[in-house]
Amino acid sequence: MKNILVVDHDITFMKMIAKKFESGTKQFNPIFVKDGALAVNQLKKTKIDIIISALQMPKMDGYSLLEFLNLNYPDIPLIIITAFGKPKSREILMEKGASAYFVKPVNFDELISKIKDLKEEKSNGGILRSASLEMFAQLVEMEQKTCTIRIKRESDGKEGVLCFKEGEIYFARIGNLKGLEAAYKIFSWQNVTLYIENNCRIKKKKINSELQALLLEAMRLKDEKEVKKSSAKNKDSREPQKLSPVDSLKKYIEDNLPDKTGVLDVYQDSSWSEFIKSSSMLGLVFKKEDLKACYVSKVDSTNFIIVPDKENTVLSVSSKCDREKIYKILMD
Amino acid sequence: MKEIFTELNSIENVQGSLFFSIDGELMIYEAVGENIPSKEIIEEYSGSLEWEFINNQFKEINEAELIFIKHRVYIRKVDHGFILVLMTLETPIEVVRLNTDLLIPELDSLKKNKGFRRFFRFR
Repeated sequence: MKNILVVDHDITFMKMIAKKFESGTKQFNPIFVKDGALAVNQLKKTKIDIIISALQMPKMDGYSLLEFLNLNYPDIPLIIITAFGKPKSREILMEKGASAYFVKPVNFDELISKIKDLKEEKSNGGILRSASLEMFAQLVEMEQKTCTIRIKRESDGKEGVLCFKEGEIYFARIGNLKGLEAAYKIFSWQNVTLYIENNCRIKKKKINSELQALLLEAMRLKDEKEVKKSSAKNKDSREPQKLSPVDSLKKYIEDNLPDKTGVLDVYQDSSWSEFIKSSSMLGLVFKKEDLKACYVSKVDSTNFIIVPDKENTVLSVSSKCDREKIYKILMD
Repeated sequence: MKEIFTELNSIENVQGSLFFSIDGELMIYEAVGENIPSKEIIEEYSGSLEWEFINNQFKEINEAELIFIKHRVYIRKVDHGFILVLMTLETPIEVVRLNTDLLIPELDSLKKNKGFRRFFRFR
């Protein structure tokens, strides 16, 4: 399912678009935010496939959002929707990298059709399963191709993006990691599927390195990491350690959530016992289901995930945290 | 009778929505799913809770999510009570949150204009 970020402070429009998505084929999961600033926050914590944004918004408007995307997420298509359509602003926005421009009242069928087109464009150059990324990148360089390659690591579904213009590598991104560092990581992945788009939205080159040099450095870093890993493994096998429940949860999170997205601390705090007790009782109402976790967002902007156990293990998390992923880990 | 949670309840896999006053009285009960317990069971449950303690705890809490094996309960504190949305784990929680945001002014205006007790009656 593709995540569509809808950015608008026009609640009527949001409601209409939510209804349209709900009644559709469920290919899209809309996420709603009221302005550009909130969209930036959402981009940092969720994988977004396509953005639909208004132009006039209170905190950060559509123009600033487009600037931000061009700098940080140039591979994500942006559809502009405005109540004040002017040919000049359309021209400027399209020139700056917007993928489409709609004027309100929007014809939703046309909008959905555009979203589908953009989704399909992402693999209009083909899909390669179990491919060698290095080989393919070298072919792109040799043939001086312009394309965007979306790479999916099969072992954990993690995704990255590489953009090429006339055979030169222009941009790389994994989540919020961009540039050379992201490129090194992507080139160290094995068992990947490549989705090729015959287009590159990036205007300015953001990686100042030759592909060959980049590939060599990526291989060197990968080897170095593997050596470190195997020596750590050997050390572990010599000295088996018994971990406390908190430490074992920390380790489990580290192993299963490699970037530890949003997890600030893990500790035990029995002061949540009464809250957990009241919450657990609600489970009795649901055919005696056990409470597996609670998420609490406090007025002072602190957030916690509490795991009901003897001492109540508490994960202090940021608003960026991918709670669904953590729940899944806790459920497992 | 106006069904205030109609839109919220139309979200995929939402089983129903409830509104409790701050002293624990079940003011609105709108069920759509098969798994949602009856009004009587919910009232029995709410009667067994220490609402003074819950109010105290929720002084510092904006919202909470309770994750059960197959279900999720989203709790939103508002000025004069608590909205509870009961759903399965697959429900898109951000859509639920957005719809709850949109509901709050409506709940406020109903309170100001007519008073909850006169306006809402159980189904």
